[in-house]
Amino acid sequence: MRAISTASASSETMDAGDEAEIPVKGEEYNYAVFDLGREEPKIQAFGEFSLRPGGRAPSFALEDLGGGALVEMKELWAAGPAILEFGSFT
Amino acid sequence: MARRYANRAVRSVFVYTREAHPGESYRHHTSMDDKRHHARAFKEHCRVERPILLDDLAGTAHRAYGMLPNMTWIIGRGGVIHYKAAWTDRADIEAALNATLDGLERRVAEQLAPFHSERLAWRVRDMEAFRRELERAGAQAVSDFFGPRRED
Repeated sequence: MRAISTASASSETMDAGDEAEIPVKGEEYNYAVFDLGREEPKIQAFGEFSLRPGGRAPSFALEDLGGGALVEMKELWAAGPAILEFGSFT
Repeated sequence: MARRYANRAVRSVFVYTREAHPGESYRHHTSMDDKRHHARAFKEHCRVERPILLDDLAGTAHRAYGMLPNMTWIIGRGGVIHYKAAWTDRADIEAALNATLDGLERRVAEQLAPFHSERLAWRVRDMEAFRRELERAGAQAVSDFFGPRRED
């Protein structure tokens, strides 16, 4: 299912025409059961995912675990390169 | 690695997403408090020194960047994407970062222009170590991935 990214109000929107090729139903995001059949196609499709080198990184306000302050992602790359690793404990 | 490059104004952060393999011990998030709790456990257990930033509960940033469970991206000054990887491999990231920094340094003097290239990379996939990580999340996480345990 193709959908326009529903970025939060405090973030920059992606350029017109950019689309997130990711289902956006909130209730499915935090799944209770891992399903390889559901998740594996996303890994296979990552190369075709619209965001890629040469493009512009979207910025969102994220909560800093350290102090609770909101950090705008674009501050991370304001002065130099930033490495972003996405993940979770599990 | 982050410390080695800190003097070159390279920032390194961990963006905390949904639980990739929820189980009895670490369930799927139903609130930001759940997420904070899990992220603190992760920080302590894995001795994470980088800042940990929490995506919102709906996974807004995670979805915008492709929603894979352990991606790494390198973003250049001003927001240009330099590197996009489906998985996190230290050696691959370091090679990409070195190439990025090298190109940026030489860019003006040597009249360099960036161009897009793609390749496949390799990562170690230790299934036994991965099973142990799933066991830490709970038996459900193990059976969700490997299938139900057969009773002999």
